[in-house]
This record gives sequence, structure tokens and C-alpha cells, in this order.
Amino acid sequence: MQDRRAIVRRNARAAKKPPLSNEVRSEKESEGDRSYDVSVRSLQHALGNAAFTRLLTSQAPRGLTRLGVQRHPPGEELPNKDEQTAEIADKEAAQPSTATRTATEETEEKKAATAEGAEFVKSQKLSPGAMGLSAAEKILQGSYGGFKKIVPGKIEILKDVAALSEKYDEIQMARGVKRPDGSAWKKGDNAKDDAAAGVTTQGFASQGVVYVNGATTLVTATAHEILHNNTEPKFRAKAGETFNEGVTETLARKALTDAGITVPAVTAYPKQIEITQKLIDVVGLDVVGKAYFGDVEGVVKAYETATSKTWADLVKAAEALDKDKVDEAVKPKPAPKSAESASWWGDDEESWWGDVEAEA
Amino acid sequence: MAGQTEAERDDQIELYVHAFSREAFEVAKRFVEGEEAAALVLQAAELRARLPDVAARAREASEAYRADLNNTLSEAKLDLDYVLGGGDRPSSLRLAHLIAEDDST
Repeated sequence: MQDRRAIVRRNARAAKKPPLSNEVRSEKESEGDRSYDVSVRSLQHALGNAAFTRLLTSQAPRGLTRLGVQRHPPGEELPNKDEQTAEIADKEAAQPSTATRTATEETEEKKAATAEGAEFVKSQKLSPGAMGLSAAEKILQGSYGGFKKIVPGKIEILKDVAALSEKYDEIQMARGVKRPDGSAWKKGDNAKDDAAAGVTTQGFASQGVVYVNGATTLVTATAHEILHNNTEPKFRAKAGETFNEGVTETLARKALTDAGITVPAVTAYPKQIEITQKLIDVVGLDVVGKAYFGDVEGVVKAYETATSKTWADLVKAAEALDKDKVDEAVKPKPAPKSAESASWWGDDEESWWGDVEAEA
Repeated sequence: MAGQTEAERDDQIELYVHAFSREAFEVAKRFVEGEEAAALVLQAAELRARLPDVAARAREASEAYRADLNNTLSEAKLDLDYVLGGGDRPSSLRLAHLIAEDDST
């Protein structure tokens, strides 16, 4: 998938720049232009374009992969550029998603997820708290391993709110951060600030590490943070914050439920979940899941095919958490009139009958 | 408010709290994206001063919603403190993802 996107980008670049990098050109020159061209063309001819491209992509040094899609003279504008770009985009859309695991792996991973779920339920009876990283990773892998290999990222689960607050202070002190009054940051300052603001810090990040409260009452907390570490970076930009959080929490809730864990009706981001569900009702969870883990354009296309609005309309309504506007945006496209319904009675069928009745 | 059901009240509080939090995040996002800091710091200070009142309102919501509302406001506080501290502070989790995305591009 990535390679095909790269092809589109590369083609766009090729229209503006000489297509061969210096690295490739020097290699080409060292072989001798003529013999190189002849052997490359023979090979391409023998294998066919698709196989030839695959061969270059899988075996050639990085720079040489660019040759695999070179179908026009170097330095010249691509002939039928738009057509070719559209063709590649169409092929990309038609590609079935690449499974990241075998059926056996899927069965095993789902089994492991259920086992972790049962362990978690048991542990909660003894001492409630956040799910461990390894358990959350396995549970998410069980549900979403078909989209992507789930990685936990750098997350540190601290014992409770007090430990989390201490960690915050520790980081501030190590950095030599000053308080607003100019005094040095000291232990207990974060808790004091929290109390003054009327909030309790539940998690924060510093230098690439995420720290979370291990005694959180939000059962989805760990899974939610791991999911954020696995999402396609473009998803947030394309879908906005409401869908970013809504989809993350929806997927976390689903994974935990799949693993046999009872999830309360309200966890984090309830409004965002509600709005996300409206999108899922239109395009399906599979499309939303694929978008979250990689195929961002897929959800846009599916949504715009199903409704009369643009993706931007939907995101705008979702960002405002405006349920009425979201409801409006998820209304299905009116079905086109079939040939049968557009009968010779035409649009005036009702009024025609009305006239008959009036005459009678 | 008289005649308001509990669900309506929760709904209203939730919207209010999330709108505030979103505003805080927007300021932090613009800060991370490199917009002129002075104006953003002023905006962050104004929002930070409002935070205790918003948090008090959040505590009026039903128990089931409070964890989410606290979480949302905790993120807002971190976002605002990050801007007020000139970026030399731990960040909210949501801002951390944005910073990581910026670093990777």
C-alpha cells in the first residue's frame, strides 16, 4: 500500500524533476548506458511490468526501486499523468487489505487475549486498577492484530495518583524548572497545583514516555494509550480530535469486551464515542478500524459515497460535538430514482390522482 | 436549572467542559506548531485562570461522567501549563502524540 502511494508521489515529482537520483545515475553510467538499458528492458520484457517492479522493489538497493515505475523518458512530463495517477489510486482502493497474521495466529492471539481478559477480571477482584501493559497489548493484538502488529510504546504505569504526581515533580526538579514566583520546583508542588485547579492529573508525557495513573477507575485507560501509540499518524489530522479520541476509546472498549471484560456504559470520551458510533453506523467498524491503523482515505471515500455531505462537513460538526449537525451529516444519500419508479405518470402521479378524485 | 433532567444537565456540563478543554488544546497545538508565543501565553493564562470554575462545574455532573470530565480537564491543565512554561514542562498525553508526529515528519 505504502509503495503504491509512493508511486503516486514519485510520479508527481517526476513531472517536475529529472527522475533519476545521482546515486542511480552514477550506477547507470558505470555500467554503460546502452548495455544497462538493453539488459533492463530485456528483463522487464521477460518478466512483465508488475513482476519487474516487484523484483526491483524487493531486491534492488533503495535508489534503484525508482526505476521500477519509470515508463517515460527521463526528465519529461509524464504522459497522461492524471490518468496514470487515477489508475494507481483505483488499484490501491481495490486492493484487499493485507492481512498481518495467519488464521492460526489469529486464533492463538484471540485465545491469548481472552486468557488475559480472564486474568484481569480476577485481578480486579483482588485489587482494582489499571490494566498492565502486557495484558493490554495482548488483548489489543487479539482484536486488531489483523490490521497491525500492536506495539505498546513507552508507557509507565505508576502505582496511583500520588506516585504520578511525584513523578511529575521529579521531572520538574531534574529540569531545574522554577515556580511562577521564582522559587525552585519541589516535591508536592504538582499536587498543590492540582488541588488549586480542582483536577487530578491522570497521566502526562515527558521526553517520549507516557506516565499513567495505575489506580485509574477508567478500565480502558491502558488500552486507550497503547492504541494511540499504534494509530496511523495521518488519522488525527484527517479525522480531527473528536474522531481521534472517539475511535480510540471505541476500539479500546471493543477489545476489552472481546476479551470477556465487562466495560461500564460510560468510560472516557462518551460524547466522542456517541458521534463515532454514528460514523460507524454509516461506513462500518471495519472501514473505521482500517482508517485508524492506516487506510485513512478509505473512510473518507466510504463516507462520501454513502452520504450527501463532504468529509469536511462531518469533521466540522464532530469537532463542535454538535450531535444535530452530525445527525444531519450521516443521513444516507437519497436513492436515485429507478427506471420503474420514474414511470410515465412522472412526478405528477399524486396530483393526477388528486384531480381524478376531485372530478369524481 | 429548573425543569432540567439529570441527563440534560450532564449533557450540558459535558459539552461545556469538553469545549473548554478543546480550547486549551488548540492553544497548545498552535504553540507546538510554532505560532507566535506571546499571544498564546496570554490566552493560556486567561484559560488557566478559568480552570477552577470549570472544574467546579464538572463536579456537578453525575458520578458516571466525572472520571471522564476530570481526565479532560487534567489534559487541559497540562496543555495550558505547557504553554505557560514555554514548553519546558511535561505535556498532556494528547499533546505528546502531536509532538511525536511533528518529530517524525
